[in-house]
Amino acid sequence: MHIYRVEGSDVVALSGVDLSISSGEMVALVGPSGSGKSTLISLLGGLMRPSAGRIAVGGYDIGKLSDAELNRLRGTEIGVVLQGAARNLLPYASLHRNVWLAQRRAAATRGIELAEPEEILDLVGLSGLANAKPPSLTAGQQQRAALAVGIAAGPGLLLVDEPTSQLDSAGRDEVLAALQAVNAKRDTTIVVVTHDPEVGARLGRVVTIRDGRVGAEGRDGQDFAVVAGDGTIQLPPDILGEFPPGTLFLVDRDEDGSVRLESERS
Amino acid sequence: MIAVILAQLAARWGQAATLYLLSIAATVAAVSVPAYAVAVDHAAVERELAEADAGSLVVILPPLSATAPSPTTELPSHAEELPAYADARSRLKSFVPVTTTQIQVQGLERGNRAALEYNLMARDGLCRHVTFLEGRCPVGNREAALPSSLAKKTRLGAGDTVVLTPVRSSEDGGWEPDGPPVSLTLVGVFRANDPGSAYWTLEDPLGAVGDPAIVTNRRTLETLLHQRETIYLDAILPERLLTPERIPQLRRELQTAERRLSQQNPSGISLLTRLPEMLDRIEEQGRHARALLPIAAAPLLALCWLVIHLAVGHGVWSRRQELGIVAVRGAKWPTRALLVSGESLVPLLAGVPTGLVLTGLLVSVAAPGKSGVIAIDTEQLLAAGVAGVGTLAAALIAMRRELSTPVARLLRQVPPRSRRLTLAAVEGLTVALGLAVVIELRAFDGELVGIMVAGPAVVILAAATLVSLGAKPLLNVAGRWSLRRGKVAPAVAALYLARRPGSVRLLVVLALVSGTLGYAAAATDVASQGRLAEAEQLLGAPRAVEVRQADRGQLLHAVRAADPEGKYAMAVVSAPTTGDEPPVVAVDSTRFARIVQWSSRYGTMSPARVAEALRTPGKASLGAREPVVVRDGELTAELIPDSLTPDGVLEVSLQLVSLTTGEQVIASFGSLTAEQTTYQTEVSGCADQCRLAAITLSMSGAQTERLGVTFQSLQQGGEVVMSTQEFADEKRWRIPEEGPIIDQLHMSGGDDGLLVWQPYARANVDYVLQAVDVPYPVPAVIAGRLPSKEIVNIDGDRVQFTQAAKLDGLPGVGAVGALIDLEYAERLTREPGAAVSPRVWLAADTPDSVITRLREEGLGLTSDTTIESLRAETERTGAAMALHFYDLAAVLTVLVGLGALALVIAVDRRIWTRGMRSLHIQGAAERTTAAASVWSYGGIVVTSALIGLVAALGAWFASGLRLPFGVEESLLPAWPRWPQMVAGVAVAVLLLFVGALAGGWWQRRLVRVRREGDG
Repeated sequence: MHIYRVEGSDVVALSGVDLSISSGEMVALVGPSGSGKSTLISLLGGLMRPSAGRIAVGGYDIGKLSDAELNRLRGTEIGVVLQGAARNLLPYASLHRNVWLAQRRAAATRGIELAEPEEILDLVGLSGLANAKPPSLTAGQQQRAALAVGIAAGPGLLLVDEPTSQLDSAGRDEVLAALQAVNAKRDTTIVVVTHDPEVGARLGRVVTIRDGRVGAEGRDGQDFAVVAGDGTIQLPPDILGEFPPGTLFLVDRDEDGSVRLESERS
Repeated sequence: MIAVILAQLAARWGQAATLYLLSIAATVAAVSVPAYAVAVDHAAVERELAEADAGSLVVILPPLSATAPSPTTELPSHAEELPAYADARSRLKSFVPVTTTQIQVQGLERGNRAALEYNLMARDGLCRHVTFLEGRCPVGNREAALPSSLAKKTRLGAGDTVVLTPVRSSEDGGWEPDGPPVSLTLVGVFRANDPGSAYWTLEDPLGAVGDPAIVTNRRTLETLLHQRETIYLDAILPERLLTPERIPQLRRELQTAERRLSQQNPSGISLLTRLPEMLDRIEEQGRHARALLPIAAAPLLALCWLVIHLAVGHGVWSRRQELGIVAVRGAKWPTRALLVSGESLVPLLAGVPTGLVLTGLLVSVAAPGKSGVIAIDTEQLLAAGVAGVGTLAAALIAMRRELSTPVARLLRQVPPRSRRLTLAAVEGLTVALGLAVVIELRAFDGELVGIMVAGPAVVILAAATLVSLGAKPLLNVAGRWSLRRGKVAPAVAALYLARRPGSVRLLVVLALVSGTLGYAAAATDVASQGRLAEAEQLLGAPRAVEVRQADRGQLLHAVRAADPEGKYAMAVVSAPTTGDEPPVVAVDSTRFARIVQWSSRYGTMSPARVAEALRTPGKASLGAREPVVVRDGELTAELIPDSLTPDGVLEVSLQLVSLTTGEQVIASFGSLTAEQTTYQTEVSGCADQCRLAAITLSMSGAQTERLGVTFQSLQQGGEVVMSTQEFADEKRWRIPEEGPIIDQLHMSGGDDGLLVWQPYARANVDYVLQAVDVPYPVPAVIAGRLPSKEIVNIDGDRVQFTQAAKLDGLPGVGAVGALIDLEYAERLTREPGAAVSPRVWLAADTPDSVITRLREEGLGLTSDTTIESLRAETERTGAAMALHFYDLAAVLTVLVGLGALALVIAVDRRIWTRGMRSLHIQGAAERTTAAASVWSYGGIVVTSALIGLVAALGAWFASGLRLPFGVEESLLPAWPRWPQMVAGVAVAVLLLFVGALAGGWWQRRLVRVRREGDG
């Protein structure tokens, strides 16, 4: 749960989210604006602390880590790509320097050899642009450069917020290709916040966040409702729209084992 | 990381350049204090060397006399103290030693002039200081040379041989041989290369003062048999070695030599030199400058630090997102700190050494004198360190949040609430500090020393903060008012100022610019007025000429003769007062009102009334008594010695003073006997009348129990000059109060006349009874509180005075002292004598003919000073020179102010263009938004200028008269003149206004570009 305060009132941004993401998985978080997607990704990245509940990334309980430990985690284990490519890049520094700077903590902490910045840029399809500065790149290139910075330290988890929101379809495809390449070559777990159903479809697993909780999940082209931790199930909006609030359902199990919801109207 | 920081600097070079310049300005402000003080020191040395006579650089040891029982060539060995003296002189390591050995000789001239004695001297280095008109330097044994004046007088020249006999003064006042005659060859005739140099202020062989001397060499004197010689051990300080830096060393050398001398002779014989006084004067100028300079620099330094703080703060705030990027990657604190601070600290730190070097150049241009580029010394390094630390602190405080803020907050662009609270606390603290400074200075008479040198800056800052806080709601009201009336542009400007985040800080920073300049203008104007008043008071008249060695009476008569109408010239004489006695100046009050330079500072009395108070015109002024006047011819006195006075031991004489020439004439009646009562004397020298100044009783023979005589009458040519009743009036007489009380006369008036007696009369003592023909106690116009009822008269005697008027100050005197009438003062003297500081005050319109007539009357005029020339002289004092520092400070202040304005405009550009676009969307014409830009930034400048002026006045109220101007406080006006003060600020405000217009134009262009982009 995450609660924040606006003009003296408490706002519950997320509540009852029960989500498990396996290592190496690619997950798209979708949902309407204000549903809590970005908050969830900030909590996963340790940029915010949950007001209640538990978030575990790898072996770490994010809520119990100190600021310094969270800092170290972001420098080594978790890559964060903020919404808007420019917010991830130092405009005055070359791409090589941007990637190098993002590797500093990891290099100092783990003492292992990290991939060369050029190699990382190659991975996201920016070969030959190591000396270019962000303002000279196209929007798509900038977004891939932001991805390069996010994976610079070789994190196990990459959190990406709206990577395709301001891109055309070609740019979107390049970014998605880059994400898939990262996932494939590095086995990096990738969580992407997006509004774009196409992106969700391309990533395989789509988790829909509605009203601060996981509303549905789509796998292999099929949409599933999800039983929340408190036992509730959110119906898909199109079905829910047919029944006004207060509508009574009869829940019954069929002989073949399937569960049937029967409205009293029917 | 270095590459990243360099990339930051390259990307935002404008911001970096601004910080670099601000850091330079801060460093210059701090370093210029010691640098400028050094320049003032150099200027003070220059001034002293230019004004002091050459003798000021000379150190003279007491002359040594060597006497041998018989003629010898080993005479120096007979001067027992010579080794000790030589040792003492050797301690003067910076000085050039000059030893002169001198004997007297006769025989240079022939015939009846052969008996004239001359000095024969050998002096170190003489041949280097002369040019030989004939022959050469006398380097060989038995060789000598003559100064050209002596060669001309004696008609001797190179190649002549003279036989000289050493002589010494004999007991009978003549000369007797001191050794056998010796033959010398004259090998040269010379003249001095530079007769005015210090070398020739020692024993003078040129004859400028006294007779010229024959010059030989030491070898000749050492092989010349004689019994007596005088050895002078002197030392000269080369001008080039008199530098401010060497003053402590010179003092040490003088003290060491003095100590060595006193070891040899504890009786108190010491070095004869005026150098310590000169060094004192130089250091005093430096002290005055050092007291004022930090006060002048502090506001500028505060301004620089404040602008640096704002610039760094805005810079760091604008790149919070970048810092967030780095933080979100888990960067360790050093990496984050470098990225946060490096971009700001690199130009700021680079500015410190640049400013340090630049200061020397700037000071050499701005400072008076020819000090050249000031070398960097320890004090300057220390000041640069202080500037650097302050700059660093200002920057670090500005970026403290970005160094420690959590990542999530860095990624947001919302100012934290606690920041507003901190700002309010800082503003409150600033105002409280300013208040504390005002209370300290006004209520507790605090001085602007130590930490309080920052006092005026703190008060300006506090007053600017307070007024800015007060102005904010007013601007809001003005904005709403304008809006209601449809005046969009002024409304936008006023509301922008009232509601802009940090508008108080913005106003304070710009107000600090005009406040600093206003305070500087006030200080400069008040000091200028003070120096003018000081010059007026010091000189006393629009113009004054000094007179060389004049008798007091002669001076008075000569000036009156040169200007009989009393329109242009007035004689003035000072009393020979010591340091702890109030100064007394005697003026010729018959013309005082016409000539004196009067000022309303002295009081409400007019100069005419002051003159009347000193001496009422007409007979009444004499206290109902006319001077007792006699002329040439027989003078008869009726005198009755008392019965206890032995016959023939008491001698009575009259001291007469010529009414026209002021010369003294003595008329003695001889010794008195009991049988005789009528005595005659022949007066001579009083053809144009003399006044009776005093009666002298003297005793011949051994001490007696009592001297006494009754004066009954004085007659001349059958007329009674002084009757018995007049004699008997005790108020006509005054017993001088100088000397032991036992030597004072006693007097008693009665029917028989005036009985005067001395109960313990001693031989060879003159007992004086002075005639009083002026009001006594003498009327005096005083200023300040005099310590007693007596003042020093112009002859050094103490006389009683009556306070005719009391003023706040007096011309030629100052804030404490007295003015008396010169004629009265002279009549109160026992005898004529040399005037102390004789001078003639002149009216501004004095024609040259009066000066000519003064010379024709025999007055040697030495210097001609006007108030303006004297004021110009005071401009070269340490404090006055230090005030010129404000010129440099003003330029820097305006530059920093422009930098601050540019910073504000740059910071505001996003919010401004957004706002103007909104106005356009709502239908506002481009003209309206353009006008709003002009009104906004122009409004900032004008509003801040007004606030700054108020702040400057507040600071002036608190500290103005505490500034060490080096001028008597009573001469300083309490407030500056408005036009001067406003003019001092106006130029700067104009420049800032132009800057504001340029900023407004730029904003307008940005709005237009953005709109076209939208279109």
